Amino acid sequence: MNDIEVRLEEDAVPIVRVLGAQFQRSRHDPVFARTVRNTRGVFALASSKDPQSATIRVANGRISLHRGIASDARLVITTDFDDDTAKPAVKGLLRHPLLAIRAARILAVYPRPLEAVAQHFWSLASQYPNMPPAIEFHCTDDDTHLPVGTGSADIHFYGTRKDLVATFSGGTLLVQAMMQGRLKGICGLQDLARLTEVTKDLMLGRAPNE
Amino acid sequence: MSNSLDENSLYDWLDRHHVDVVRTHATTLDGIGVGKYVHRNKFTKTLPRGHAIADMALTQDIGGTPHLTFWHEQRQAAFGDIHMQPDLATLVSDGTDKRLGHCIADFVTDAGEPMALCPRSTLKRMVSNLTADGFEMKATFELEFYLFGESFDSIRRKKYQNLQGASASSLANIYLLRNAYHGTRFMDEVIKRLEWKGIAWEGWNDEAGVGQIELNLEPTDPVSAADNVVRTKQILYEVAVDMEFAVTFMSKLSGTYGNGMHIHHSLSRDGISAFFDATSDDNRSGIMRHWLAGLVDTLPGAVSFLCPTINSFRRMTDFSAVPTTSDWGEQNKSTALRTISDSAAASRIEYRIGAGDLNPYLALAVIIAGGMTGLERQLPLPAEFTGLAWGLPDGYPRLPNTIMKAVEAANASEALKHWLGEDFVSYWTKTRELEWLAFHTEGGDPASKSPTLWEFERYFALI
Repeated sequence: MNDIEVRLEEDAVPIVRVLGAQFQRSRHDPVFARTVRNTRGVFALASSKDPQSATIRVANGRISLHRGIASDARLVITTDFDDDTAKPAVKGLLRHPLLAIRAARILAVYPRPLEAVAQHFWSLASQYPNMPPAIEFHCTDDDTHLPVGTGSADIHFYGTRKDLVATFSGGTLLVQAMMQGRLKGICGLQDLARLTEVTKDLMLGRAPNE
Repeated sequence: MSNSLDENSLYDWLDRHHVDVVRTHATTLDGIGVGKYVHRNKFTKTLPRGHAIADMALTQDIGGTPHLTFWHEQRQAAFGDIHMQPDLATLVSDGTDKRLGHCIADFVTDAGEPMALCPRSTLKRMVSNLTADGFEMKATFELEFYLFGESFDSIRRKKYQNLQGASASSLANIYLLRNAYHGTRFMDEVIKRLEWKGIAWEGWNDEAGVGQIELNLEPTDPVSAADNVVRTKQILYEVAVDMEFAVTFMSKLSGTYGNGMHIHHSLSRDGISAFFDATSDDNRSGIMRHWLAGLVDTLPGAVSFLCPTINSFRRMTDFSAVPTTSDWGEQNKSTALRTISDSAAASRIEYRIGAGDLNPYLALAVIIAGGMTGLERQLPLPAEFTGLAWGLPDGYPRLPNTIMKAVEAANASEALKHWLGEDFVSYWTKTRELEWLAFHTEGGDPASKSPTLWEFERYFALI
């Protein structure tokens, strides 16, 4: 299952690192792994709001990521990176429908259970200096409480399962999720900044021993 | 200018100079001047700790975004206050506004302790290391900037396109008196204000870019040299606003020459040059050899501090008068470090990597850290590079040429972490990463070969 290889350009730009980290997390999903193994093609992802773009080359179970839109990209998928409800525009869809289906599967976020995300996040965060002894996640969908760490937690984060999973698996920055109102929290600035650093490292694919 | 005021003589000084308001001036990690206009009563009442200021003054990026993705122990837990401690030795009157005084300040904690993230305090700490070893340093900066014959407002409305450099021609000449003449009215006013504030200058000239000027200040002790830079930059900005010109220290504005900030420095002991030795074949003392070796050794890690912005690295290309390799040479202006060793009086090192947008306090702190590393470890001096250090094939040691490569090099530098502190280097590199993230996620175009609107809006008037 882990024979999928993800390679980044040298001195990669943020979108390349973020996609690379997402693909690394998706490697463990059988649908993703099977799709990558069965895909050979080049497609690009571009922001509709700013100049960010990346080219994704898939062949022989390997994904290579580079900045910009390569001239041999068969599909160009343009979307608003900050709005996961935005409908993407796909150039080349009619000529390369199969690649489009596979690209969608490759780019899809494969959700993991909140419990696993919370435990994984804490196992990483606890390797950073000056972390709080415990935090607690509160899923507002079903009023679930998920404490991690030791002792009772002074730090609490509240949100839907989807937003908690997205944030604490590296899909977005913690402080950004709170400023956008997707998550609420009881947390001092100091711990918020330190925990945000962990989400940033997860997002950029460089959390320790991940 | 340096005076010997204390809290008792301060009142008399304020009376004699008719100063009712003091503008405090501290410098952020990005090298941006921050402070307040403070009534004299408040200024004197809050001594010695100085007036309060939100800690965001020190912990925000150039775009005004607080540092919320990393932390430092001395920061306030909920955007609380820190303090700006005036250095009374730097108090001067304005000269133009008779009621106004100016005072350089350090960021300190509520308890009056120096903030570890304060650039000026960091340099002071490095200078004290040097002094403890019996050395005195003299340093100065060459300030390069572009002067435009139109206002900041006009340039902003034009979205920074078709900038009109104050110059006789649109050719990239250098030292032309006719070009310089277009800047004399502006520079005469600048010089007047520099002299009023006691900032000694040596000369200025037309530089290679259209409307580009280089201003050279007199060497002095490191902290005063950096103070002079931040004050001179503020004076240049204010004269430009007053006379409806515009100036910028942005490193790269177009395809032509960028703005650098070369740094000259020398060491002495007991008033005698520590760099010069007439008995050696090359006039270089053992101290200079080790010091220079330390500078070469720490060059890759130092680049992050000398070239702090996305825009700094646009300037780092071969044959653009900017070093791209990690080397040194006697009277060699293509190498990163140029030595001048022909006499005791002139013996010095020119550190040529610096971009126009550097923070002078941090730049000098890093240079001292490099030199001290060489002295402490008795590093042997690598061979001199005697040729042209541009256009070299693969295999020559290249300096980091992007902001993130420079971050990696700084994080890997045990010498810089040893001298500046691991926390400081870590915090600094996270601020550079923030700059990189902001560029890529707020509209900067990584594919653009020339500076983007994002860079102009962020750096043109502020850096």
